Amino acid sequence: MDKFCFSKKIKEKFINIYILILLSLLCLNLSIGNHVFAQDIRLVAGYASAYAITAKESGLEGSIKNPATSIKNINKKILVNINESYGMEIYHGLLGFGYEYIDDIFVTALLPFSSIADIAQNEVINEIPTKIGQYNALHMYPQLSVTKRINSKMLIGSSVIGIYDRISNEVGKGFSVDTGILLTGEIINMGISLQNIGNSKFWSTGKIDHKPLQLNTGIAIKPIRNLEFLTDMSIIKEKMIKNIALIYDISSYLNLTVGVRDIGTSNQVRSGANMILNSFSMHYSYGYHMALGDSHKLGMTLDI
Amino acid sequence: MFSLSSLYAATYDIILHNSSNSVNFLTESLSLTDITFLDKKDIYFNNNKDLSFLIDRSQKSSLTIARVESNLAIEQVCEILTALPNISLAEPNYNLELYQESLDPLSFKQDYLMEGDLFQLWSLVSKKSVLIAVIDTGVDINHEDLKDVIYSNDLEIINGKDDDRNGYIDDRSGYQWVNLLDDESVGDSGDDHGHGTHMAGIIASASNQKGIVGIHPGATILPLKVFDSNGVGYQLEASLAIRYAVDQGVDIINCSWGYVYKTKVLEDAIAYAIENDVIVIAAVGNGGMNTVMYPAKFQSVIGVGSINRNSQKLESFSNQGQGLDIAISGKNIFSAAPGNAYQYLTGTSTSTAIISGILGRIMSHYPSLSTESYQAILTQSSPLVLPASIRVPNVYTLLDEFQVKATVEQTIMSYESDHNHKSKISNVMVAPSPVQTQEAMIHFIAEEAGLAGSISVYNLAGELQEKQSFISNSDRNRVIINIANMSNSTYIYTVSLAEETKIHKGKFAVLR
Repeated sequence: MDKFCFSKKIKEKFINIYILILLSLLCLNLSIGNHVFAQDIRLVAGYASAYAITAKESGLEGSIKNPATSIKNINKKILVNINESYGMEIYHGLLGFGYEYIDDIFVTALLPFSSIADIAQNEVINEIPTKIGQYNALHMYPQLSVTKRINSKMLIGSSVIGIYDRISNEVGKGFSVDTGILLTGEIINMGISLQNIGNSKFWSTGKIDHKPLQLNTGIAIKPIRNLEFLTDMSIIKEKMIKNIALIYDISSYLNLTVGVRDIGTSNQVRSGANMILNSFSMHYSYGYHMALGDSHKLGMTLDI
Repeated sequence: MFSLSSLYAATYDIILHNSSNSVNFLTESLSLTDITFLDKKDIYFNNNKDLSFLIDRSQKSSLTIARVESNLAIEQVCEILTALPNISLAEPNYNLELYQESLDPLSFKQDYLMEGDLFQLWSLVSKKSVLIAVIDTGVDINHEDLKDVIYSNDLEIINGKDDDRNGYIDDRSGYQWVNLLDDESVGDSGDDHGHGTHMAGIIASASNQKGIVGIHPGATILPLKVFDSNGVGYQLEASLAIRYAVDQGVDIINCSWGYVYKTKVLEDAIAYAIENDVIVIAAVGNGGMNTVMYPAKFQSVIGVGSINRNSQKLESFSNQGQGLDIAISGKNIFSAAPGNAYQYLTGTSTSTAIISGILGRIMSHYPSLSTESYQAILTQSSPLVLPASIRVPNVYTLLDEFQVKATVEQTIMSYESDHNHKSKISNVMVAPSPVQTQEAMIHFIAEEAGLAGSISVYNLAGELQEKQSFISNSDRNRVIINIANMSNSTYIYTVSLAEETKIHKGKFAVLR
């Protein structure tokens, strides 16, 4: 009886500590830099969920936002997403691999990249803007994430991210670290992650870029068995990005998703479908941007 | 009431001047023994423009135009009416005559202007300047009848340099592609043969009391020389000239030449012209053969033959067959020649130039029509001449057709404009790009000043980074966006007008 009471008290302490950490991080003054970087452009399932996935138990894509969430159906899976955005020859891709070690440690390796072709190289000649050529850009962020289940209700995770950017003939290289926590419950999950810790990128031009810290907090609510409501919020310095999504499981093989990314600002409407088979999953997402147009994305996950 | 006198009655329109302040001084009850009032209309006007806002309708000066019937002479009618109370003067409304005729001294030799009433085209008001490329032996740009209608590229100076950096040296008044392999090739488009000057003269000789007058004297001629002094030319040179003409924004290309075989380079050049809404008019060829020469034979080109109006048959020298779309006079056509001279020429070349002039004139009066409409109406709505079964343009018929089409297309254009299908800004670009400073400069050309719009910059995920509003100047615009807070990466920009739904978008990189 005493043992049971003791262990219960420890768990309560743990939860209190997490809540304290959560509140502390919310109150952090994130004053490094002033940029917004979004990572969801290379996702498909996460894109359809309007990137409101901070607290969602996810597959391989989850560690892009919260390293503690990539725990669902990742073991010996390969992820392949390659898509074009807005009809502008902007290609995004995400290659991934997952491994689960005794239901306790989860490892994911991801390679998100973007390739932008045929950007006009322009000069102003005699006060007249003139196209003199074109150039390409490539952005790659290889990432290794490890997630550790602490107990039945809590997971923690961290990612180490390499940075490689090439614009025309100039190259920027660097690194970054993400960390996160996921608290799981019967109905409600809570998640929190801190991204871009120590983020630095050193350009061949001599310039050094620092991504600002990004704090993500979110909840996932499953009021009934086949319906899940997701919401999260990202804070990057003074900027706040809010996302919501709804996932409806039609069956164990198929679910539909709808959401709104960046509520109140760009209001990007997202939707998608995921078909899950034994050794193969297909993901589709659609995004509408009021200014930039439509995005259709396809991705797949394979067993090896 | 019918009376014997009405058998001899005449109808007159009489102007009645009111001598009182009463407007309706001519009442319905007014009846005179020898004059019957048939109709009337009161005309109001103000005598003092500056005080017009103080004058009410009852105080305006007024006239009445009255239609009367009488068996008296008009002078007697006016005398009787002038004697009436409230009428200070009654006078006949004499008709007017337009004293308009061509004063160009040699225009009487231009018989072809009388055929199909082509001279009626001169009554059309030009609403748009039309640029017509004459791809030929060159044009005497100093000819007294042509010097004022020759295209002038003001960015180019004759100095052996490519001043406007368009790849052509000294292309101030056209260009030449003769001796293409000669590195010394420059923009002298003068005529050392005579054929091109003749064509240009038919199309656009100025109405200047000298020499002749063209079918569309308001047109601008772009001389492009591809034939040498012996009349030898090649399809590559012609193709280059076609492309140059298209790039210069011509409306019509006149090709008074051809050949029985085609080259792909010529076919591609014609396709380039058509894609860019340029109408190409070409001669079907001389020789009286049953085959049409290229480029006239291309379906998208208007092929022109020569017809004898009297016999209603094609001239013996005119080719015919698939590709012959329309025919008009081509024999003994009088027009300009180099050195302020004039000469007669015969051939489908001249017919082609006549059609180019007709279409140029119509385009200048009905500028809103689509290229397809100009082409279809000209070639399909012209009256059919039997038994030759050839379409020959008649000005009255054509103008009726174009009037109807212009009304319809104007309605459609208004609808499309209302729905913002066509943007008022173009040539949107970020320059310099990549951006290496704290500011990105976004350039665009606006059709008019005062257009309100905005520029937005997004990251690759579509998240808004910067937004700036602008009010446009006419022509070139440059809006500066502060991107000091944006790191090295690739971005997407959009430019849009408040009154349009169309959004211009592009991409650029920041690289510092």
